[in-house]
Amino acid sequence: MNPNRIFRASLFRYTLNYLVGVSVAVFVVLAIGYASLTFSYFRDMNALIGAETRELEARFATEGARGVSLVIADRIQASGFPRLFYLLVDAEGLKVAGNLSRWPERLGQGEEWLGFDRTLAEISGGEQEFDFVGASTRFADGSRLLVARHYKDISEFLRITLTVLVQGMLATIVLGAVWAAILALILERRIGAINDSIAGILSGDLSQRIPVARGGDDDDFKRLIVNLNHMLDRIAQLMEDLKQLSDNIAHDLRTPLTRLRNRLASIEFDGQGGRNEAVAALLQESDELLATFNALLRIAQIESGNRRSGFAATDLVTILRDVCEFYEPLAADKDQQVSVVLPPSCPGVFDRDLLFQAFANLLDNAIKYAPAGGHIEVRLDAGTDVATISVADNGPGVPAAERDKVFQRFYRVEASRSGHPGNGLGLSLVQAVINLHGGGVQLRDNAPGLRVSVWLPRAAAPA
Amino acid sequence: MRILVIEDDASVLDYISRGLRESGFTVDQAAEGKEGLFRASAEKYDALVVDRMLPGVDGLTIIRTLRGADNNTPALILSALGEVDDRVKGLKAGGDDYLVKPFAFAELLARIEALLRRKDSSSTVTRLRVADLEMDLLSHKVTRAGKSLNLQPREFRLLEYLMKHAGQVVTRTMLLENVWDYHFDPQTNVIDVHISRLRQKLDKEFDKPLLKTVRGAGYMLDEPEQDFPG
Repeated sequence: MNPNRIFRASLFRYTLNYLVGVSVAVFVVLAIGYASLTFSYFRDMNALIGAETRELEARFATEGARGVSLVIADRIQASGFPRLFYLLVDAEGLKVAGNLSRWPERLGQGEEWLGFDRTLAEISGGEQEFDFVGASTRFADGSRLLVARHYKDISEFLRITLTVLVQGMLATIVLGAVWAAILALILERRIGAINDSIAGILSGDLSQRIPVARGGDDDDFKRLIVNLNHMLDRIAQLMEDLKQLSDNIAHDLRTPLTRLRNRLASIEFDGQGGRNEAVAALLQESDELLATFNALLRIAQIESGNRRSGFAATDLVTILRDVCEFYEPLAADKDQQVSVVLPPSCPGVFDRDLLFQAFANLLDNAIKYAPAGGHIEVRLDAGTDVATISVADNGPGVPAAERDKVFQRFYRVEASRSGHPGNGLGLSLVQAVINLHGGGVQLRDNAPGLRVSVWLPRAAAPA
Repeated sequence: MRILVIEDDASVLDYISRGLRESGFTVDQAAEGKEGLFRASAEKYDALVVDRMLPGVDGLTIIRTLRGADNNTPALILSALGEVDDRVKGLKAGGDDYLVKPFAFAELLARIEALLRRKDSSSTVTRLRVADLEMDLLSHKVTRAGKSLNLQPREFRLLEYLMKHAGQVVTRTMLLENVWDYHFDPQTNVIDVHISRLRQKLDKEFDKPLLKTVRGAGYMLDEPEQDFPG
């Protein structure tokens, strides 16, 4: 599987878009979670400090500063590595009890919350700077109490939490992208299979259908395939209707035309060797009418379908050589030089009758429009996959502006309307035939004259 | 020679039948598929002319049924559908030739005569001769009155076909299909140019022309003394 196809797959892009959305949502959720976690930690911490302060206040009320000192000493004794830190100072600011050495500078005298830094060397021997949050209270005798808690552990915990959350988010994004690629690959396979089937059906046999997986869920893919097959049924039906219609027109219109022509033919000669010129002219007219009608019908039939029964392994060189040989006397009558440049062979799968007709039309045009004594060139370049054929003359050519229009039915270059016979269907037929083969036709300037370039794929789509 | 014409269009049926009778054939008619199939299988005919689209049983089914019953009467299919696909289908069903409407009666007649001829032509002919014109199919040499003619390969095939159908009208379409082996519409009368080239080599130095143009039909190679209908 071509990786480009995965990245180009619409599903991959949708999933990536979805992933971006999910990432933003996850980020918001994580941010809120982190904030609320932090908030609740600090709220709990403050509640703890508040409760401790109130208890010590109560102890002061009953037992005075001494009682408080005892409690503090007890508390310090009880915990190995202390969480709560105490400092009781007298009215002069001298330490009475506690495990903090001195009153922090920025902590006011009132009952207020404040954070401060303090190296914990004095409590743990380390050199680390710790963040504290604490509350102070002033007792009636002027001594002051500070209850504080360092929150190194909490911030550490929050840091780890944040790291985990960020890593989790990154993992979500990476895994999501991988999953998107896998999903895209799976869906690309299924859609790719459908696309390939449709392309095959449209270029080949319209009676084929996209294979529906046996069993499995009745999922949207299966329904898509079923619906596409319904559409193909409709298309096939419409084309069949069209074919039926044109067959009926052919039958119901050509039969009376034939009758008309035959009646004219039966009165063309009077039986005594005389010929009725007016009837002969009418006969000529009706023949032309029928020829136009037939050509039109033929183009419609070639265009309407997948007429592939005429396709067979054949050599393009033989067809071109036969066409050139067939038309050579006509060119010779006009003293035109026909140079034919062909490779030894160019085998492929073609409809030889239709291609003969197409090249005959091109050569017929070239001979018609090249001047007497002019030059015509027929060339075939056999590529590995594509054969390129060009038929060039040194006639008046076709103005650049009209080069696309000449393929339209009945379109004739203004200059040729008067001078040359024709029904304006020759190139339409050529185009229909070449399109049926999956190739293309282009008109170019031969300076002077016209160069018609035709390319044909050598292996036509399988019948 | 008895010919059965199965055709639902009364005017076309009448036109074909009248023409064939004038040319000396005995003609039976059927205007509908079932009747046609019944007559074709019940009686012995030398050739059948069958329209493809018929009420009841269609033309291809008639021929397929006959072939299935080992009835190999040569059959010419008439159709308003001129496409190669249809031609292939027609020939696959067992038809011997396929003619698209509209057709000139001369074309139909020439083809029926070719069909009848095909039936009794022996396959291993190595020399052809018409009057003083001789063709050796093995050495590819052509002489007229002992004088060697220098023909291009395609001219040789053209002459070969004409000689094999000597005394018989050959239409332009028949030449296209059998000498050039392509089914197509040449738009211009290129065939005439080929014929006139051949005629140059064939008749130029001789008093009596062998290759004649049959007005409104095609060409015929024949003994110079004989008269032919125009």
